Amino acid sequence: MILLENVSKEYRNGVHALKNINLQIEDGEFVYVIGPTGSGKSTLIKLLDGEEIPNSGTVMVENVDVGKLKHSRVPIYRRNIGVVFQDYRLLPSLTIFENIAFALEVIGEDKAKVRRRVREVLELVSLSEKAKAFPNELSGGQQQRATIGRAIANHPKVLIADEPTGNLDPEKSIEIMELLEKINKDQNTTIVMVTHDSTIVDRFKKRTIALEEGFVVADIMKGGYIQHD
Amino acid sequence: MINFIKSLPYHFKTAVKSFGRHLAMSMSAASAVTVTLSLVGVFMLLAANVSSFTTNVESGIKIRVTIDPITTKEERSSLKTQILSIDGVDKVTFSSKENELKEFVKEKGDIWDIYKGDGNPLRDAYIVDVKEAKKSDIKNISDTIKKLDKVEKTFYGGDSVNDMIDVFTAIRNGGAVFIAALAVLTVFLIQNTIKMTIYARNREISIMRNVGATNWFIKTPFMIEGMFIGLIGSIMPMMLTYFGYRYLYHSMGGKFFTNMFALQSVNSLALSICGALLLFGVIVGMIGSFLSVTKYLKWKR
Repeated sequence: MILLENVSKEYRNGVHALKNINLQIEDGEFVYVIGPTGSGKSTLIKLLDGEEIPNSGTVMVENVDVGKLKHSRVPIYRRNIGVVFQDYRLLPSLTIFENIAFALEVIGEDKAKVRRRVREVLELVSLSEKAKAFPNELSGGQQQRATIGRAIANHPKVLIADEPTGNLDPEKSIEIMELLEKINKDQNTTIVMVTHDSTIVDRFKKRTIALEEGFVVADIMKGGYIQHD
Repeated sequence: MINFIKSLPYHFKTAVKSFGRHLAMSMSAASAVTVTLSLVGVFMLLAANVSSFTTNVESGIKIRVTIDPITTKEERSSLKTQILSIDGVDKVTFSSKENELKEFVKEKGDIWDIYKGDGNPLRDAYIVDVKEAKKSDIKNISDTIKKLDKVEKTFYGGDSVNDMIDVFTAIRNGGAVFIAALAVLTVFLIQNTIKMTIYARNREISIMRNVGATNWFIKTPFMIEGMFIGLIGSIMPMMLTYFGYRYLYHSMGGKFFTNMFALQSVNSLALSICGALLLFGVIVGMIGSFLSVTKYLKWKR
């Protein structure tokens, strides 16, 4: 479960990114976070990921107070959540196979298990034949799928996706969405997806949280893209 | 801890791979190590030899005490005990005037042989060895002996020897300071070079944290890589030290102009300096990497 209580975040340069946010996302939910640029979506993800600390309020993810984590504990917390970054963040010097394996190696999984799981994941994200390729040899959609693969490799309870369809054409976007839905259904993984792709939100209807200038302006269970005046 | 040891082969492999994939960067860091370690090696050779010159010269210094020709046996032995009781005196050996002449002839040439027999103008003497630690006191000891009964004269190398010892001591101490300064410089230089190589990879480091790698998991391969850099960087300085010194030693005949300045033997000195350079390179590489990665780890949460 993800629980945000009275969360505010102001950056040092004075930008007030989030203002008094209250949110509750249950286990196994699939939630969209939408809003225009500068509405605080990225900040929300950074708070959930432990990259930023809220100025006030608490961010609880799976009973961990994320804002209170020590610097050295942050990576250990991240093992329970998968993050799909908009800019992929694949290690450029590792192959796709090694990139996904890395997420498992860091938690000390033994070799045989790592290999088996990486093959499974590559199968799931349909990249089996690209296992030995380096990230810069892949297309945007393939890299996106590789990051999704890495994010789900160690069965996280929560998957956070930052614009996973941002750089892709509609056809590829639908492919990614179907993959995420599959992960959500099969593994009962909670998914928080930040997007401003209205066609996706309209087509795959889910709970939608709209942010604007740091406030939650709408939270509708039935979904659909909310138009503002 | 057990986990750490279990993951060492993994880190080792990662470090080797990363060294290979960033070969140009690794080699530039290693060459920085090479330059500074070469300097350190040369100065260590210099300092070690100057230091042994000093010891050689010092151990060669003795006080020659000539005895008044009109003395009884008892007076001589009492003089010997008196000299021995002086603080700093190690050993007193008797040398008859015939023996003294023999030494003189050996040094100055056969024509002095004519003084052999009754015409020997020399005196019986005591050769006084001074304890190692009291060498700097040699003038005082010599003066004290001179005041004793039945002593005619005392000689030692004189002030020129003292001056030489002072100069050597200054070179030795200065050399030590210089080597220490050079060592600090090396650490900085290597740390800086490694910092540049790591800076190019600071995105990599933040990605590692993103996927759940702990700080130590990230640091360890970098530190092993730093040790490789130190190891490779120390190969050339080691060869330079060993072969360079061997060449110098043989071409100078094992001494620096005189026998008093005997050079230290190639194997014992050059090899131990090689060992020191290797150890130094590896440790500095490791510490340099450690400091640099730690800095970048703090950058991002």
